[in-house]
Amino acid sequence: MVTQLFRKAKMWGTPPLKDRYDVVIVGAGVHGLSTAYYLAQKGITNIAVLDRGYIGGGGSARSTAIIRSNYLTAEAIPFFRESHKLYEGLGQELSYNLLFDQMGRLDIGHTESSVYWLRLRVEFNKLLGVDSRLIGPDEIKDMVPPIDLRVGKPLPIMAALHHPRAGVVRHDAVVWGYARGADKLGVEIHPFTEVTGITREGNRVTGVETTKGPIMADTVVSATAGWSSNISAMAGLDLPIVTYPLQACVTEPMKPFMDTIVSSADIHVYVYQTDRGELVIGGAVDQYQTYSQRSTLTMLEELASDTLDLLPDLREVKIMRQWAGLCDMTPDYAPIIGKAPGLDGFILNCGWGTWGFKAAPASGQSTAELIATGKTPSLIKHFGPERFDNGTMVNERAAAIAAAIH
Amino acid sequence: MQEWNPVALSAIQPRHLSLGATLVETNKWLLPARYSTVEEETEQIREAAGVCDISSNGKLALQGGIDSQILQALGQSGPEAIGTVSKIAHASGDIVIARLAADDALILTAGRSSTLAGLVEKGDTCSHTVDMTSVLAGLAIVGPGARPVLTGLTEIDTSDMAFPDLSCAQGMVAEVRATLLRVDHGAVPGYELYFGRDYGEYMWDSVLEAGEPAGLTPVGTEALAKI
Repeated sequence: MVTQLFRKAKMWGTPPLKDRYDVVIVGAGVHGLSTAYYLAQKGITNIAVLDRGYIGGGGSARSTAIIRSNYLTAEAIPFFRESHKLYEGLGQELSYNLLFDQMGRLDIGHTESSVYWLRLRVEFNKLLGVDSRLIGPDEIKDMVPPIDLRVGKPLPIMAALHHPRAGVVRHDAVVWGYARGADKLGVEIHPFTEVTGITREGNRVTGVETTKGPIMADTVVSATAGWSSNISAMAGLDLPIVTYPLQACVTEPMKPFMDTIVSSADIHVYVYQTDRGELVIGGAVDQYQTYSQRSTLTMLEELASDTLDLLPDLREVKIMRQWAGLCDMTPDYAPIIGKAPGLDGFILNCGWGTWGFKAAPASGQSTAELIATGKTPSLIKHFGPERFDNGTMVNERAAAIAAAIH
Repeated sequence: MQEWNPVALSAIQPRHLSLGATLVETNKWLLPARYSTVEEETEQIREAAGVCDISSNGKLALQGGIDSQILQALGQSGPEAIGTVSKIAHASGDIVIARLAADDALILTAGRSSTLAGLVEKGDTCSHTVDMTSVLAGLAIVGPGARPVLTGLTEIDTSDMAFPDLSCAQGMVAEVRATLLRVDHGAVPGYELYFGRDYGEYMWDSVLEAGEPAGLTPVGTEALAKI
């Protein structure tokens, strides 16, 4: 009888795995599922999204899910701006509460040179329709009262780039919302179905080998973030991607005292307070390459001391949890979206490094358009894998403070 | 106010717990001080061989132009030969430099890696360091029976001729990429093995299995320090 208290409806179905699909998407994280969702919207619904684990259990589960568009380059800003806009309407579209809290964000400059870069970003942002402005210490103090403005520190707070529409989203909700949306449109989602190989006929990808048997497909999409190099290697493709772990932690909950994301590229730390009152703290990627997702005491100490540099009042606050996720870093801090070079039927949606979650709606939409029409949408024309061969890299240095050390 | 003192856990921690080890904090790491008694374990090392978790060792990868300036900063007169290990006495504990290649060295200490970073920064700037303390797990295999353990696991030539005291090499150990050092404890042969932390428990099991004929058993940090 008790079971009747719970909803019987499931978020998504568990259909049997077929041996052929129009599109097979490897990776049921935010990028794979958004690609599936937008593909289905375009009428291509014979899709399987495969994941070796549960839905949204890889990079998507470990993102600190900050949504913003205050980037630096003319190539990246329009892309992230469109993604940001899509996020603003996404809860409505998916009819799912994504807990998108647009609390605003401060990127703090501690030196003359970093303030110069922030000023440059503000101007680029304004030109390309992203709300950014430079503010001084007084206004910073108004927004974040406990911030340490003392001068004479090695890295004093000089100015900040304020990006009012930046926010934080509930990462699981985005994944589940897309999964449910895609399922409603006829997409099949198959968790615990690991891809073990990619089948080719000459230069054409014809399907995937999985732990549940082979599957034929006209198009295979790799959306596996931190594991992209491994999946691409199965297709015989060598990507200019290296995988680094990125760590974050969460403190015990406190009464609300700051409602702005505070980020510092000079100190390599960012911090925001969640609706539950916990502080989420993230920093730079670890300096070694590994696929291991263990968190380390060394990084915990760094995150704690860097946070205290900005917010010294937190010195007695306890840290509850710490974790690591994998980042597929590219040489120019920009994603790789496009047809795999020299390989038909294989689409890359990777290179998401530390800047991927905020990009999911735009990347999914663009990847879907690319698959549906065979033409590269202008929004992603700079992000194709061919850029590493013809020397047209993007150099998105402002991609994420987390990327700074890499 | 309650004192909060976070400690790092070795990747091999579950094995230590199931063996009922007495765990003691060393350099902010929780490691087995002993499994039985120090006397028994010391005897074990002298008679046969012991394997000890040394994951807490500070490890610093030094890459780029490893010039004499950096080595001088570490108290050494000049660049050493590739494949050799030098030991330097230092106030915060012995420093061990494994010269792996012309532009690649692994610097180790029983102390914290932060002491190493400070020393290296005094050197030339045309190189960089990465703190590998967290990402590499370490095992010391010590005792007269240590070498046969390794011959069963690796193709690295560990004979006394090819791999005498103060040698180092990189290669596959139990099919895992690893760095092997020979650092004897006086007359007792000793090897140090460093590898990716994800293989911690697997390597522990592999070493113990390979060491069974030689009578290899786990020993704690206390016994190792006494040798």
